[in-house]
Amino acid sequence: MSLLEHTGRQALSVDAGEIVSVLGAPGSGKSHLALELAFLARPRDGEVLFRGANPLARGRGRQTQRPRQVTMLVQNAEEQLFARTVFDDVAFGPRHLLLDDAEIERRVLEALVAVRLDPAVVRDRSPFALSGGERRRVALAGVLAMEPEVLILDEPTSNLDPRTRADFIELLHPLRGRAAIVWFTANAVEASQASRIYVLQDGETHEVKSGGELMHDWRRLAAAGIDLPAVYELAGALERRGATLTEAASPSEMREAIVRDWRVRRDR
Amino acid sequence: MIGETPRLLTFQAGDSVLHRLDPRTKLLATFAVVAAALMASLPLGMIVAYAMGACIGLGAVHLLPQLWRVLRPLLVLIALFGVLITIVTPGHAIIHIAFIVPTTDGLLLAIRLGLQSLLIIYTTSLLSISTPPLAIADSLQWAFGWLERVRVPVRDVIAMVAIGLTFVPLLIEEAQKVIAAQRARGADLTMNALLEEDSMGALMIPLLLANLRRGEELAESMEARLYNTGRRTALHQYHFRRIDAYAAAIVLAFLVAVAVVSFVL
Amino acid sequence: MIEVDDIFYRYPGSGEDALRGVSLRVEPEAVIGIVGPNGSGKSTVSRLMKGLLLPTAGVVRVDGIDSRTESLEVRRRVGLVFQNPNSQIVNTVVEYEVAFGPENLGLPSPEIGERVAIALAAVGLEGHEASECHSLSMADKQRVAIASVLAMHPRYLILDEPTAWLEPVARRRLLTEVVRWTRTRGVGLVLVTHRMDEAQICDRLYGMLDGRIEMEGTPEEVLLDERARARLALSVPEAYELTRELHAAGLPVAPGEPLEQVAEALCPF
Repeated sequence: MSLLEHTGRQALSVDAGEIVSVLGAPGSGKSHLALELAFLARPRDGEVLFRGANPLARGRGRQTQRPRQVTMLVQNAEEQLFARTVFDDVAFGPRHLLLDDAEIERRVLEALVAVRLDPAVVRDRSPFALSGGERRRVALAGVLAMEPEVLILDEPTSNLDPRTRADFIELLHPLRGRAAIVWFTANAVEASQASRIYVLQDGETHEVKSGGELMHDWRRLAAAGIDLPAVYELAGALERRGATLTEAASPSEMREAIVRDWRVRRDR
Repeated sequence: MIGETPRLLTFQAGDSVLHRLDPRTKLLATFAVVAAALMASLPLGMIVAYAMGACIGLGAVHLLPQLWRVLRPLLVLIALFGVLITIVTPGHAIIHIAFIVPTTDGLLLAIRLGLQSLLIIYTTSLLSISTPPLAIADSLQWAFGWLERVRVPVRDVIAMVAIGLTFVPLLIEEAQKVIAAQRARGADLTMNALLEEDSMGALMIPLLLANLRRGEELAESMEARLYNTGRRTALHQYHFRRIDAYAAAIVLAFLVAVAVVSFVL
Repeated sequence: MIEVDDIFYRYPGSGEDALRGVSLRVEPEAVIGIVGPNGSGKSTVSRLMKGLLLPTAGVVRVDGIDSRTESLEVRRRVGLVFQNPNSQIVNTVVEYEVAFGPENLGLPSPEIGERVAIALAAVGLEGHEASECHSLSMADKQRVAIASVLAMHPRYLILDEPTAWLEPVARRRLLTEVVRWTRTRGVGLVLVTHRMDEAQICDRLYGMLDGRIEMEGTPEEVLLDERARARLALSVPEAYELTRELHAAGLPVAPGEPLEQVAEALCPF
């Protein structure tokens, strides 16, 4: 039994300690799938099970309690900040868990540290005085402070400039120790860093066991409009001209395949 | 629950009779319906006025079920107000329940106001479903443009309204996103919780901020495209056609009928 | 030509200058890139070149016209497409939105129709005249925003992160079309970006950091400087790195060559 599971055509599952990524081109329905997994939208097909049970099965129309152990960082999460101080914003979630002040304090500070913000420096500042990247970290801290079992990330690095993006990715990976992570992205390299990868295409998911296996299938990914490293663009252009390239499990292997192919043709 | 963006009263492209009418005709017809609703007597005048509404509805029959779904909750609201008015209006008492005294005058007033509101809302909804906001704005401009000569800022006010209408779907989408984001971290955004100051801020502040910023950028973008720097022309000129003449004639006939029925009979 | 001479700009109510002594040039028909991290002042410079803001010190001249004395004329000549299409689109229908600019210019109806059609074709949205703007994807909205400025036939065009919302495949196509548009009409193009692949098609790059121009040079010069790239928060120029590695491996590839050309060179039909 998985920790969180989606049945239906867009099947996927995640277990404690894992990072699972969902790779899909813009417009493939990632955001809606993310909402379904977070119990914020009704699944169009199948159901979503948390620890094997569907919490939305009971109750009709009345707002049923979605499991608070499943949280989500929405796209451009920095836009959801609203409180007077960073502390208050991060504490917003835990306060809804009806914890006592000491526990809330502990969680907020701990969450800020986890996102590499110095609590002493930021706690009393207004969230709006921070940079975009910092604000997104505050939003992430707000979600981590809930101490969730599952953390869903909807394109966590979108709209960040390259430097901020790299920093953010670096702080996301260690989080797998705290919660199971489902990482939605449109970028193949980002997706390949997960332990398991689901490719979302034509309304269906297709599981891929590793980054290498993912890159093997680069032609299909390119056809789906997924962001791939430049070397695959060249590979595609070469194959359209009749070159035959050997299989490759990574961008660098692909580059070597291109070199080898050229040498073979040159020597003929 | 997040669903599809509700297609409330936003414009939907289509090919009904209403869609084919010149927007100015539709605007004038709307004014006529409002006038009819306001002067209609109970019960005969109101019946004719509703017949007028029904006839207009015939111009876009396929839109009616959708319209009904959207207006249904409004009926509840109107009914509630009706009850309030019945109780509050002084006059000939119907019955005494503790200190609550519904009156016949109140009841009549409630019925009249309710029927008027319903008819007006129905008609304006048909107008906005079948007419792009910009066309409505242009028609309003045509109808009230002369006020510019007496320093009334008609054009600016209309532009503001038109742009506001354009943004309704986007605002709804954004509200849904903020709600999802806050719920994703445990916020409870039911009516009860919203009345608690904390949660209200979680919903309103991100929306307000985003839209204030957007307002500024929109103004910049319009300025950047030289809005208000000279005489404006229009891509599509509006032309009255035969279908408009027929529609106008029908509406006028109904209006006269309502007047006659209400004041003479 | 757009001449920006040593401008300073401070936003009202701000404690410090957003721009400190920025100078640059945009020639007609040139493709200029302004790169740098968020907050470096790129968007502010765009607004100053467009005449939406006036410098607190220094001069902005477009074709010799000073933006402080004749900002309207400057705004007429310079087109600017902002980053977020949701903050630009004011009309419900695509056709009306693209016609908005020409209508403001007081052009006759038939000409407006023509300009709209051509602009939509340039961004790849022909046939979408009747579509509803807010039900389009972000990518298409961005195309609409660009088309609405193209339809005004500006003499200079500034695009702020023009492909931010586009799908990877569509990025190059849009940029190629826009560059073709500007080159055939002798329009000066400015791309404000932090994407290396966009920066690469420029004739000249200005790198901005903290309100100043940190470096100026051809894309190759900036690309070779790894430290500059890191400071300016530019993405790894993957395609460039690839061509360099292939070149180093002995293949007949010049570093910086466009990949289609590389494919042609390696595998001629």
